Amino acid sequence: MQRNTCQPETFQELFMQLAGGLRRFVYFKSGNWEAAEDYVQEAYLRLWKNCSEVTPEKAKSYLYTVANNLFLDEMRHNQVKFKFQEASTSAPSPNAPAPDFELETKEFQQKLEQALAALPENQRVVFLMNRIEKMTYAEIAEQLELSVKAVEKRMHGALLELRKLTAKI
Amino acid sequence: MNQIFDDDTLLARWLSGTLTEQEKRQLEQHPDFPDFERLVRAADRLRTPDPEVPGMWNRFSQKIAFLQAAPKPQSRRKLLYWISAAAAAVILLVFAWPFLQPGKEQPMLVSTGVGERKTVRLPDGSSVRLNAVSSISIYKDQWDHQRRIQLDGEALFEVVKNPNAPFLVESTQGTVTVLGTVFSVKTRADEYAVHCFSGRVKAEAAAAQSIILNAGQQSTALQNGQGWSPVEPTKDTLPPWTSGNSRYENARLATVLADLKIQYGVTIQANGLNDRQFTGAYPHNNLDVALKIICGALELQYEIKGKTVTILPK
Repeated sequence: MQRNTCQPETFQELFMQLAGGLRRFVYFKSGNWEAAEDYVQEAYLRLWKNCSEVTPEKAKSYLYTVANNLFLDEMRHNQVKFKFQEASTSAPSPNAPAPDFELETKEFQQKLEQALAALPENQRVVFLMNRIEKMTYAEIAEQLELSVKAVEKRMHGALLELRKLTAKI
Repeated sequence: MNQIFDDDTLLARWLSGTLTEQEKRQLEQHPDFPDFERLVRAADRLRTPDPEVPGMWNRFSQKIAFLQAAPKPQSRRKLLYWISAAAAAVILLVFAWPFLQPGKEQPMLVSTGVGERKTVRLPDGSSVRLNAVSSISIYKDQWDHQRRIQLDGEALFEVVKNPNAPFLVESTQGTVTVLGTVFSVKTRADEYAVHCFSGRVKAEAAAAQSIILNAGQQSTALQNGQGWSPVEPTKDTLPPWTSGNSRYENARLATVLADLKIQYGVTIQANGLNDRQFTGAYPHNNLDVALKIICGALELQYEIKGKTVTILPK
């Protein structure tokens, strides 16, 4: 008998392991944190309904594909707007920044958020998967079914574009 | 000078640390290099909110539990089963007929009495907290497509998102359609107020245009179908009654006393004082304290006789 994802323990484990990353992935695409959960829930619901046809190994790519398709169907026209939380600044930096510097980084952070929203989606997703999810280009390439070279091009493009956009804002 | 960026993977390889020594030197000497460094530094400080996976899992399990409870598509069975099932159904139908109203399911009713509060868990994992002297009817028949609730009184709703099934709170005074998550509706004799604590809601009042309320906003329907009061910020994260208090800002005394009635089950006489304005808060567990606070603030005096409270000017 072929292994599938119908066993409750398998299914729950797949949820616990992958749901957070999947939510962030949809967020990188959509810029809407709340809506991102809806897509994750719906993707898992489809996996649950089709569990007999999906092996645990295939589950991740199945979930990402479904979430992606759902997103394309419904979210495309919605406005992208990012609101990140700032990494905790509690960790004291070796040379404590002057207040001016603090202010500048806060302002710059906001500029960056706006610039990210204006970035073409494919560049944004690659950039954030690398910087926030800390995924290597090879891992991103596999996830998005692209070549590593293509991922590198998007990354390079993202940086050039972000520099232009933050200068303009 | 910009030619080095014509290599369309240069910056990507810089970040993965796979540039050649020469490429690295060239890039680091480029006047734009500090900008890229700053960008990456800022980007590396970005964090998404916590996805709270256990909460997501809870919402998911509730969803599938509800789906599982729904009748499952029938598989092929032996003919015998069909015949006995059909026979059983006929017998059941004969006996149950007087109780069945085809096409019209009886809603489930939940209500609270004086000073009572109740939390109701809905099949989709959403919840409703009822304030005193309030009731809701839950229409479960079309829950998959439309989550419909009839409200009389006041309640706080925490709604699980589902793009395929809008959440409607209907009352004689209007309908609130949920696009977001936490909101309260107050629909009492002469007051219809909607507070949105998180997400977004759309509120419609009879004979008035609908309004959209975002998180942290509130509005009250004006009397005589005059539309809605200007949208105001709400300072609370949850309505005060959920923690056993009532709080007001420049509210008519009539409104304050109407709420006091439903918390303590008393009759109140306050002739000619209805339009006085009250700002403050009172608890739901001590009538004397509540009256002291209200009357103290407005320089009034009160008298409690059994279940009747009389309020008079000093």
